[in-house]
Amino acid sequence: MREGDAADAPQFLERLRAGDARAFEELVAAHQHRVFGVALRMLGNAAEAEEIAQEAFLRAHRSLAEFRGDSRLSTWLYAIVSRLCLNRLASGDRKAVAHGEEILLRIADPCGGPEADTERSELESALHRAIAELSEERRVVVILRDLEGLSYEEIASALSLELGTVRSRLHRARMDLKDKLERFLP
Amino acid sequence: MTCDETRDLLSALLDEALDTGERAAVEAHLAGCPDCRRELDGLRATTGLLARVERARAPVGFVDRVMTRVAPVPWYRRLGRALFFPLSIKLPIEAGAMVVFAVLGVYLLQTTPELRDAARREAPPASSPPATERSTPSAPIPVPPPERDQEAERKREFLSREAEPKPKREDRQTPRPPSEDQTKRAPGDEEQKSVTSPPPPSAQEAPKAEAPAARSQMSRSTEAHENALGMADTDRKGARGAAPAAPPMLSAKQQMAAPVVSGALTVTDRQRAEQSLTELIRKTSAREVSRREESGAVVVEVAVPQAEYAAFTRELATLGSLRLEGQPTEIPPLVRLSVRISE
Repeated sequence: MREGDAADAPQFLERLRAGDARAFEELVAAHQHRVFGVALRMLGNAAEAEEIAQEAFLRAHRSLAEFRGDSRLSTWLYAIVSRLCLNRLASGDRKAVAHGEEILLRIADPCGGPEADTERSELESALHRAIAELSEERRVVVILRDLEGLSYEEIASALSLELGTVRSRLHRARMDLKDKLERFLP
Repeated sequence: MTCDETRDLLSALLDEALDTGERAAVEAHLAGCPDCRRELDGLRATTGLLARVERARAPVGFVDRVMTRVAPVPWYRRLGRALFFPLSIKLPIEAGAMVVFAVLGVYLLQTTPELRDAARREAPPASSPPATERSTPSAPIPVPPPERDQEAERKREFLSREAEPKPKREDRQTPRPPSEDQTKRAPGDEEQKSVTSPPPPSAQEAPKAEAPAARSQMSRSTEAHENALGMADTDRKGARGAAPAAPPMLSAKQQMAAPVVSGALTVTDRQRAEQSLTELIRKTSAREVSRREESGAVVVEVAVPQAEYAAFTRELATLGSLRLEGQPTEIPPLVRLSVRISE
């Protein structure tokens, strides 16, 4: 079970719909990394990603009364942040982000030595760069599927796409990534 | 199934997102196509790499920032914090200021009615002399000239020998212009002195018998002023008792208690006689008390000062046939004359 799934309990949903601030704070705490992660992978800029992630939670807060519970809360939040990111990317109203500047996140590995760090950093840089170079439509699908673990149906619901479209876009995104990451493949 | 058709479904095959028929067809093609199997292995390795991507973490404080934006602190709370923080300093000062204002407000509320009551108690002695001074020139009846008041003067001198505060009474009764120091003195000063001085024994008793003739002059204006102020009779008595130096004033009760002289005036023209009587009252110091119609006649009650009584009746006799009844042997200071005018 993924992070935040426990938050879909009926009592918790009732508290959220009733405007319980404490419940909403728990929701944010449970889903903050997912929402921020999607924004960061999509936009490639930490500051912009936080802005979009905050906006996603603000919109969720305003729309909680309309949340029918047809999908999981996490899927609902993914849908909101994904659309916000796509709108932001489509608007062109963005600060110039140096390619790969922000997305090269160095995540220290307490178990690995300097060599391992270097090797992983190189792989991760290649991965992030490869993802960032995907088209927005393919990128959002591969992020939601391969990084966040959503099902095809959830992705189709979140992005309001046909299931076949999701399948097709995901396959093309993976083929692109396979080509870009060929040197890391066995 | 061709290689292209098979490769389009390889991702779905990896994700177990194919239905049974599609999966069987793809697996059948893969069994006989090494290129498509290599393609499948490449895709599996790629998804394996993607699975190694570390999850991004939201920056520290993200939840607090979201909660601040979701439920911002209301403006009045922010204002309250700005005004009252730090509480240890501002709150005691503001609380102290509120206490001071509250005490001041209560003190003013308690003291203001007392001041008003004190002003009311001082009002009669303070207002009597100015009222006399003010009303004397505007009174309809002018101050009697000295030649007409000789008899009154004699009576006044007689009475003033008996009364204690002779100089003050003389000062007030004679219509001579005030001296310089009198004009400078505030109207209430003399009364203030009177209040503090012990009253003479005779002043406490109503000086009906000893009232001087000039008292009638004072009484009309002063009493009118007192009535206008709505003063209670007890207040007036108290004021007189507290201020014995003031000239004795004739109250309405005293006027009503004066001896009544009845007169029957038979005239040829009643209306004309009434007008003439009115004119006579206006010319003299007499005062009309009442006037009423009574079965073809009119009865006019007049209060006539002692000094002018003789002249008044003499003038009245010229209007027609006058018959007076109940004339006292000794003329009182104020004669209440009831004249019945008939044709």
